[in-house]
Amino acid sequence: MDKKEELVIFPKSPNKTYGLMELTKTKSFQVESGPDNTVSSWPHLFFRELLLFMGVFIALMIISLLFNAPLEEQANPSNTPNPAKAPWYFLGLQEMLSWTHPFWGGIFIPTVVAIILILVPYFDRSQKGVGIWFAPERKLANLLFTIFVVLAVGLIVVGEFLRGPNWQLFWPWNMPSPH
Amino acid sequence: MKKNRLLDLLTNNRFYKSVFRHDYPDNDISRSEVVTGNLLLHIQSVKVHKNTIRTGYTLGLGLISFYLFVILTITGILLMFYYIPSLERAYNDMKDLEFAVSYGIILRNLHRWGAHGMVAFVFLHMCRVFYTGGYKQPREFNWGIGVVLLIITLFLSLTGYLLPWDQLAFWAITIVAKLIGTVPPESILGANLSQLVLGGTIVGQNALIRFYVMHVVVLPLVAAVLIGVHFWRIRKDGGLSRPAEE
Amino acid sequence: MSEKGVRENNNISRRKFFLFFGWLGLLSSLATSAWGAVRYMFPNVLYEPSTIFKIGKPSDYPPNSVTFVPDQRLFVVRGKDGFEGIRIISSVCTHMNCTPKWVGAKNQWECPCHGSIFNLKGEVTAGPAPKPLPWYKTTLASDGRLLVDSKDFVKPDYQIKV
Repeated sequence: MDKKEELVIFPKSPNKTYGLMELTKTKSFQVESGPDNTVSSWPHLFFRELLLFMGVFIALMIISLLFNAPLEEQANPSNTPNPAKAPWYFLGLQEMLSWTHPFWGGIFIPTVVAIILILVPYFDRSQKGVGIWFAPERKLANLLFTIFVVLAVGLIVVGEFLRGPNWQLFWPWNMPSPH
Repeated sequence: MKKNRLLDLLTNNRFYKSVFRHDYPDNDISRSEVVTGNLLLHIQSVKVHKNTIRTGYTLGLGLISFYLFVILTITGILLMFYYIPSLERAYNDMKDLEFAVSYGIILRNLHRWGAHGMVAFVFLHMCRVFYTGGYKQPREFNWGIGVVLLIITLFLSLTGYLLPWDQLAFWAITIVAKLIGTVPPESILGANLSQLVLGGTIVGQNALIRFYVMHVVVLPLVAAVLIGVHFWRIRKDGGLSRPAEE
Repeated sequence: MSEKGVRENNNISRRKFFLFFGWLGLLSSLATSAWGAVRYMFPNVLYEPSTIFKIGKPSDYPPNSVTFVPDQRLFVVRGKDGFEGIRIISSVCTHMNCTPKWVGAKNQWECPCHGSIFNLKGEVTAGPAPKPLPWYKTTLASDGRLLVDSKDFVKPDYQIKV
């Protein structure tokens, strides 16, 4: 690069007490500092990220070309659909709503779950097993979290596949067809 | 090295050099200048640990969530040009998007399926971070931000599927308003919260516009800021979590 | 103690004084603005349908029947359960505000959202509903139609003789 141009872009400041003086061909201070476990973000990280974006966009585009988003009948306050089901991610909540007073299932339990999740790192403070999938040192933590995931997903499965008209339980093969 | 003449023509001029101050990134200095000289890339570090680019470690779940957020923002802005949040127009606008607007149905599909995907991938991302112990010190706070982002994602989905004003939307608002109304003491707190959400006592125009404003301005803005903090904290907490080095 | 020491003390307390009122002013102005913003979110005028309204004439509802009135979200119960006259019951489920359906074969209302079931008295017999369906106070207007007040709840034996 042209040296003069560089000077125009970064004018020397009299207040600056340091600066890049020159580049020399010699051993860098990293010599004998052990193996380097890092790679340049460009290109190693960024090209992977770009590739992932392409993958995500193409996959989403294919889904969108194949399946149309659901749109039910126009809102009608006098007629509640039977069964009235929320999208899948809220069916666990809807399932809990059908058990008890709505405050407990619909607000209290979700709030408590969120608070517990946020506080998890302040309870589980051991530094063992960081960075390893299903580390054997973390059996208890992994077991507890798996119970949470199974419950969350299980409630959604019950709401999505086992609940029929009037929110009654049906086996999927006995499910009455909507009229 | 043989120079590509077209590439040379495009890059060897004052305009290009005023935008990109580094040379072609074929050495470590210009590779780092690619990152430090770019506002968007600058949120990431010049060098990353090899573990960071191990596909089997992260599975790219967090990044997929972020990409879906970006796609949802862009498709959402485009949908706003045709959607009018009024009881008379909302449902018909959905029909228009499907049948009368060029590529309207594809945009709506991208937006809806992207939203479903974002809920799923944010949750999966949380599972990944837990099962790899990624939330431990010094990353406790970033885990908390992540949980809040999951909740915001759910609220974005909720306020979003209310907008078409179809049966799903109407009964979902009805249930949500009643649900919020059960916060004890019901007559003081619950009743007021329910009125705050509905902008009245019935599920109508006031409720629709409130959910619309939450969906297109308030929640995305909060989400974008928190995503920024979330990414920034990854760097400040020492990069992606990884096994301790021997 | 010298005079100087006293003056120094005064200086510090004056600084504290201004600091205190500075913070007080900043925080109170922020707090009142926030309260104003919250208050702003509660409209003072609501353009909503009246909660007192007229439905059909008693003769529109046949004896021993339950008729759904969709626009006002209520059921007109005539006869049934040992009563002769007309009684009006809400069709808004007390659980999550869905609309229960009248199932004549079982003489009960069934809610599609979370499975609550109400008997002929409006009482909850199954499901998560916390309260019975309310009965509305009804009078006969001068033009012969039924005038319903959906904010005035009455006992299940309140009826209009036909």
